[in-house]
Parts: sequence; structure tokens; C-alpha cells
Amino acid sequence: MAKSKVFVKGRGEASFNMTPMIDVTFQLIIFFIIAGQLASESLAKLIPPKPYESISQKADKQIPNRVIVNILSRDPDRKSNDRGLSGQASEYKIGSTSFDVGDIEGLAEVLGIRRDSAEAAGYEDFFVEIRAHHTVFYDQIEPVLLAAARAKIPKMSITARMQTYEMEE
Amino acid sequence: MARSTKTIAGDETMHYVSPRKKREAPKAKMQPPMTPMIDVTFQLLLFFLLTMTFREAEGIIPGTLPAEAGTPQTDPIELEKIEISLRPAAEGCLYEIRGLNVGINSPAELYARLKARQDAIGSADAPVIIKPSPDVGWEFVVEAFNQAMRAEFKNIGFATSS
Repeated sequence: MAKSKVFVKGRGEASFNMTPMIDVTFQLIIFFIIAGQLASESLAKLIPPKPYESISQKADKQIPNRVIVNILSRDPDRKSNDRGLSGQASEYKIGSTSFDVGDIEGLAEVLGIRRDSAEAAGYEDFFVEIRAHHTVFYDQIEPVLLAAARAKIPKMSITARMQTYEMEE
Repeated sequence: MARSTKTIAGDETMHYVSPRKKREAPKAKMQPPMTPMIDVTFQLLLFFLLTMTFREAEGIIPGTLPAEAGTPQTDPIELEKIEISLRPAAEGCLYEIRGLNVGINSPAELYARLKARQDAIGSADAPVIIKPSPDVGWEFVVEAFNQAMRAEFKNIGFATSS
């Protein structure tokens, strides 16, 4: 049999190059760890309402001109079958700072500081974003509205799930 | 000094290999064992993939805050207020527009009624005031707000108890 001119040394050994695969895998792991931490910092884990024909729009990425107030439920999954419990807020959260429910003074103080620092940085259209769990009662959210009004923030926005459209044929 | 030898398959004879040839021979590559690392890495990757949950797309509905002790700002020209009151019902929430005296229990109907009222007034500047009872869920409050925004009212606010 004639000797191959291409494979002069005989048959080569087939092997996988693992290095790029490990590189990609590590990149993915680092992404999941960092993305998970970043997401939980300003957005607490809750389910906002999803209105019929929602008109909510994607927020501008310009974070410094807004402050997100998260309002969490005592029983977000309605495990206790007690409507009253899921309607009660457990706490208000701005970033990692927690406030007691109904603490209008504390909220107004922090909102005022945030507004001042945003204005000092040149953001005039400062607003408060109310991000509440869908089961929480209105009387638990009202103190946040009052605190924002007390902090002299005229604008607000409400977080809601966006309308998802079906693919048009 | 031990003499260097080499064996040939099928041949039991010990062959001498000179130190020079031994030096020239390619050295075995040093490589750390990758298999356990890949195993652990995949375990971690699988864990993160299985435990992570994708958040549904969230957006914002812009609005104005109520004044500290009253109703939202109105235009200098006094327009008829549209007051939507909300109260809990057996299945969700019952919306009522003041003056209509009809209970509305679907968002689509609320939208239709608001649109009709807007056409009757002839202006989208009429202030809409959402007046929920304290034990109404936030989802229904947002629903009313969303329908008023959808009907293109420009001045929507909340009534506060204080």
C-alpha cells in the first residue's frame, strides 16, 4: 500500500480541545453570578401587576433620575389562603435599605436626599417609581405616595408588566 | 550506574539506549488533570441554569403624584372630574364611575366607559381621580390607572385618605 503524502507520520489522534469550552463555561458562570447580584440590588423579588392591554413602556436606562420603591407582600404566594395577609406589605425597600410599613417620615427623608443629589447632578425630571407586589392593598402603598409628595417629588411611575404581543402571521 | 535500556514489543531483549538519545527524546508534557475541574464547572453551570428564573418584561406607566393634602393639580379651566371608585368584590374588584351608578367589573368595559365619557366632555384634559378603598389590591388600582392612560387622559391622579 502506498504511503500517504499528507499523513506522513501515520494516522493522527483525534482529540477535543477543551480549553475554549472551559473558557466559555467560566464566562457563563461569572455572568450568572454577577447578573443575579445586580438584579437583586435595586429590584426586589416580587410580581408587579399585569394590566389588561398594558401600556407600560420600557424605562429609560438613565437610573440616576429615579428612585425605585419596592413594596413587598407578607404572603406573596398566597400560601395561607388569607387574602388579608397577602394584602399586607412586609416592608418598603429602596435598594438594600428597608423601611417599616407606614414609615412616611423615613421614606420622605431618603427620597428627599435622593432628589437633591439627582438635581445636583443635573437630573431635573426626577421621579419615584412604585414597584409593588400585585396582591398588596392600596392602603399599604398610600404612605409611599404621601412620602413622595412630602419629599416634593411631583412625578411618579408605576411598574407593571408589559403587554406581550403574539406574533403576527 | 544503571544502564539505560529499552524494550521492543515482542522482543524480551534489553536494548541499550545512550544518554544522548535519551536527552533528545521528547519529554512528556506536564498537564494538570482537567476532568474534575470540568465536572465541577458543569455542575455549577447546571445549577445556575436550573435555579435562575427569567423575570417577565417590566415597564413603567408614568403619572403624577397626589398633592400632600388634596387632589391632583387641575387646569385653570375647571373641567368635570371623573372619579373612579374601586371596591373589592367576590371576584376581584368593582369599578364605579361617579355619576354612572353602574358597577363595572371588567377592564375592557372600564376603558369603553372612560372613552365614552371623554367623548361626551370633548377633552382629554379632564382630571381622572382614582379613589380605591383601602383593601383593594394594587393590581386593580394599576388596572384602573392603565385603562385611564389607555383612554389617553392626561391628568390622572390618586385620591388619598389624608
